[in-house]
Amino acid sequence: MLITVLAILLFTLIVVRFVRRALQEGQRQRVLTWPRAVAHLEEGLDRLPGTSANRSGQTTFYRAELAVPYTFYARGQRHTGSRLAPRLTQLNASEEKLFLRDLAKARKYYVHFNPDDPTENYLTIGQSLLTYGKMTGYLLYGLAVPLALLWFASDYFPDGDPWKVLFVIILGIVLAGGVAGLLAQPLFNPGELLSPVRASDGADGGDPLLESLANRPAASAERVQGGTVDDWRY
Amino acid sequence: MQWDQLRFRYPWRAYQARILDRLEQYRDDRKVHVVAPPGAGKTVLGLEIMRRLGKSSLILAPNLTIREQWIERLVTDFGANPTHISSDLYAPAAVTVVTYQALYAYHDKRGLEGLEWLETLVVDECHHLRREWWRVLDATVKRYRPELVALTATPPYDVSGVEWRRYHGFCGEIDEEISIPELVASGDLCPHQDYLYPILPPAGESRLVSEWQDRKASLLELAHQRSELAHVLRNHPWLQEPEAHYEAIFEDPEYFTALLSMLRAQGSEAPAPALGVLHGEATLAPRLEDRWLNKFLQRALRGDDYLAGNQAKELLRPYRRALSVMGAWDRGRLYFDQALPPATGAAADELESPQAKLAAVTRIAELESDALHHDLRMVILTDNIREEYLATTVHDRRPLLQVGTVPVFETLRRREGAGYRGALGVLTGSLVVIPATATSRFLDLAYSQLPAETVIHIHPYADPEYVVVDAGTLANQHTVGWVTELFTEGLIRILVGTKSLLGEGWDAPSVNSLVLANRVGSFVLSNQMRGRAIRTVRGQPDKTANIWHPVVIHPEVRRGGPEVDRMRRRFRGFAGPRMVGEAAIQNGLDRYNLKFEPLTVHPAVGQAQLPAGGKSFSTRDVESVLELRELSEMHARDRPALARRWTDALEAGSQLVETIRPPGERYFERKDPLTRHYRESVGRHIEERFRMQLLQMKIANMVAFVAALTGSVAVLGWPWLPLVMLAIGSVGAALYLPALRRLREDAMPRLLRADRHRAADDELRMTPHIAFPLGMCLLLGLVLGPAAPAVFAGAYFGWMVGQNALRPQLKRNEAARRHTFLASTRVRLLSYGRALSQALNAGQHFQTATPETLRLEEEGGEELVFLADAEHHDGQLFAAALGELMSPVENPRYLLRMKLPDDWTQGEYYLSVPSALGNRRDADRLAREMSEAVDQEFEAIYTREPAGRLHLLTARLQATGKSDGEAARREQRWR
Repeated sequence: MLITVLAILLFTLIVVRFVRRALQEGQRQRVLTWPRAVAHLEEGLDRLPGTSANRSGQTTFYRAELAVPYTFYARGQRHTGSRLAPRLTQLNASEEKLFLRDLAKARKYYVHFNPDDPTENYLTIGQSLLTYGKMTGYLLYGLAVPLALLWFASDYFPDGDPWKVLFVIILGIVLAGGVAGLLAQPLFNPGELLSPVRASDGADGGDPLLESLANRPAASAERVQGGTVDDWRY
Repeated sequence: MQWDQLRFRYPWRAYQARILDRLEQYRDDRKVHVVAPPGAGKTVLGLEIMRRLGKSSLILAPNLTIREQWIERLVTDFGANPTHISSDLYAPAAVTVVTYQALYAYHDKRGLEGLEWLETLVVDECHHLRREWWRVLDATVKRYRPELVALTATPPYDVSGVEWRRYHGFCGEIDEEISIPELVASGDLCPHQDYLYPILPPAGESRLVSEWQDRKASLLELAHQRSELAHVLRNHPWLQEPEAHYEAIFEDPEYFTALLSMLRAQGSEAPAPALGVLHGEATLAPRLEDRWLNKFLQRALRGDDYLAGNQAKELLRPYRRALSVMGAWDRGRLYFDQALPPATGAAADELESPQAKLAAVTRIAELESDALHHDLRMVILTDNIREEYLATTVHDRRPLLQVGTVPVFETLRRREGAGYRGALGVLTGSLVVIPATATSRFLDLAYSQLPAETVIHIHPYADPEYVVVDAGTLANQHTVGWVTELFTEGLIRILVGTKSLLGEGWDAPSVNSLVLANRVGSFVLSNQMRGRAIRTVRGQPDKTANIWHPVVIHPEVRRGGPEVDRMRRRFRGFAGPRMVGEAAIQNGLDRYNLKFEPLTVHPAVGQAQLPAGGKSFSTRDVESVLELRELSEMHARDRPALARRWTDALEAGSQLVETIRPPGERYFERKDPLTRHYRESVGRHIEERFRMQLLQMKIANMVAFVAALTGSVAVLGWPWLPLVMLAIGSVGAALYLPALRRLREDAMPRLLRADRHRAADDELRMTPHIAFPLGMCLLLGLVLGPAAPAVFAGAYFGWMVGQNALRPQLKRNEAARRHTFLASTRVRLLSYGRALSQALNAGQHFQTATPETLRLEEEGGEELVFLADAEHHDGQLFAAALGELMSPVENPRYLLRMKLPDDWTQGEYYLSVPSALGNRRDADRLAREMSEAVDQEFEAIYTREPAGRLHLLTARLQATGKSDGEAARREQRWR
């Protein structure tokens, strides 16, 4: 009886999780289609607010929001935003470090904003929540494992301890494999998903002359870098 | 005077007869107002109307020559007794003819007293009077309330609303208006053509221009060098604290733009606070061109306190020095943006390329002389006399360094062996030169008119073939007539004169070639001058006229230089047959397909692209300029072809209408932000649907897997289930897979954009979406038997088809509908035109036109819109207003601001409210009409208050990014 309940519970949990993930992924896919705007970050104010700390006072988790919001213009209005990605709520200390390191590489980033309501906007689109790998996991733990448990509890399961031992061992390996898989996931770095604004994007006007000047040999560029142009002859 | 004894000796022209037939109807408001081009016969028409009214009349003429013409016509064409005509207000007669200036002088002495006899007032060309003359005229009419006859060739359509209302209020409704093509069609004016005669400045004369251009380029390059100046500019108070400087910014918004432009050139961007002023449109800083650098330097070097500090001063020193070397300052104004340097004295003369221009005039004279021989009657008009170039001896060969009456005469005279030799004349107010062979005839004419006078003196000229006539003060006013007679008789075949004497009112219908070697750009004066040549001559039904416009073109200068600009203004004022392409009548330099950019080369054929209108020419290409000159010469020699071209073109219509051409090629489809918004919106909906399809495919896998497991149990009871599910799957696949492929193809261009993050691309690969369900089927088949994959397929495709059916693409379809609607140039022209005509009509700005007369026609692949059968005033008003509405914003009193649609992603969207609708009620009305016509909501914003000025500033910044090609173009067309 207990095993049957456990199987149904596991199935239900996985179905609920799958549905939630599907809805979240649907929202994320919509974000991917949203228009982008150039957001400006304040110089030297990159920080994520901490949410929890360990006993020694070190922050262990951070909110997935910038402490000082970025600003951008859309529909002729100024907007601000701080969210790193849709549905992303927190980062651990390692992820926070990686993210801030990447964020410091530029001061202007493309942000995705909801065209119907630009106050909803994100710095990155986050990572996919419903890959086929994850779906295989849902099938395994939401269908295969509950079915196996039901089979185990049914009269159809072969009699004899060796079968039961074998079943428990296989089940244990599957569950352990799942846990190991979760733990072995590479560290999530939202910094890799940032889209810095490059001059070649034309977002800041893309001036061919400026680009040609930027590509000039170093010597002539240095001549004018200092701001003194007295050696120009007229 | 016995009015009924006067009779016009000749038959009336068709339009004159029409007006005279309807005279009683036109007199309803005690004002008869006729608009007809020079040469149409307004003078005799005015005299006939005056005769029919039969009352004591005052005729006001713009100058003495025209005053004499009125008197002469009354005497010679109507047989009036000269004793009944006066030209003295202090001694009026039945008909008194004076100038406006004389009336003003009379008013100065006597006020309005003593004019009680005034019953009919005839005003000739009364639209360009000085303000004080106008005031006197107005007061006279108010006091004595005479019946008014107003005659004009060029109503002041191009003036402000106030001036137009004043003119209109005085002269009344235009009762009849007739255009040049209409009169050519009826045979009342002769076929004629305007020939551009391009002149390339010789190397020596273009030196100044090349140096100027090189220095401009150097300074622009310097401005694009990154330097500390960028830092200084970023900290400019206008950019850092714009709110504290709104007043100053609004006073000089162009300097604000220039700062942004300079900052951009320096590789920097506007600081964040400045973006607030621009409604966030950071990309609006225009590319730094000479116009913006000029604006920046003008104020930065001489009027910006912030940049007067030591650091900024040091950084701006190279600019100051460069401008000083260039000589770009003149009386406190910077001329860096001009095509030619500001120059005075010899340098200024050199810039006019006088020798090349004189050579061109000689070439034209020779060409015409060779073509017409003794039939040539050429007039060359210049601005000044330049008497200092009069020859002192027959061997005087001094270089002629200026263009003027005497230099032109001298150039022609010095030409050995020319066909016109010995048949030249000079006619100006102070200098008259005639051929020596014409002396006796001249004296005959003089003494037959003034037998009692002995005031004519003939002096020898340096060249024995010519003599100088000194007519003395008394005879001076008759000299023009006598010399004109010599000209008509052919004793003088080329007459050189000043525009002030011969340009307006001078009557010599025999002129068949006119050279406008002067600087006039205004359409009123140009039309007047052209009027000298296009008259018909009794007994010469085949008369044609060539009108020459020598123009100096600098191929290295953008838009060809100032003379080309002058020609653009001049050619706007009159219509004639196209020189290239299909026969059509229109105005502007488009008659020659003259472009201001290098011609594009068609890759397929490797030659200059041939538009529908025929071959194009470019001011930027020396070869092309020379080709245009050759074309002018070739056409000018073939006068019979000119008459045919008129005939062909006239067959295409019946009226000269003012049309509007839409901005640029396919502007509304490609560049208009509203169209782009809906295109983007459609793209976004397609991408979203595709992404949702991929997500649903994942979900379908799970649903189908569960269904397959359940189905493999259910099959025990329902053995037919696999077959049913297989059938569902097959039908579903047949429906779904092609739709998915189409959707993917539609979405691909957007999905493949290079600026997207790679992480997002990985999710769009189709391989896992195909491999995963196939793997599932294989696994299910192996474990549970063949029924499970069949159920899987049925459930999978059933889910996908059901999902598609439950998610109709309403938003996408609506966006696509609007995009189709707005991207069409035809629809835009019509909807803007309709909204505007309704607003003008409702505001009672039209005299007779109605919105129902709006027409849209296509020609050579381009649409044009106009009010059919409208009075010229209405047509002009509508065209000018539509031009403003459809062109980049300049400085309107009201702006139309679009209320942004829900998923709008760009900046603000503005349109100009035309100046003709310059009050709140009219602007609101236009906003309502536009909202209805374009299916977007608009509101009118008053731009002369702070919040409105912010919008205006943004709108103007948006406009600076637009090219000339993005403005609507006005054009006169024969339709």
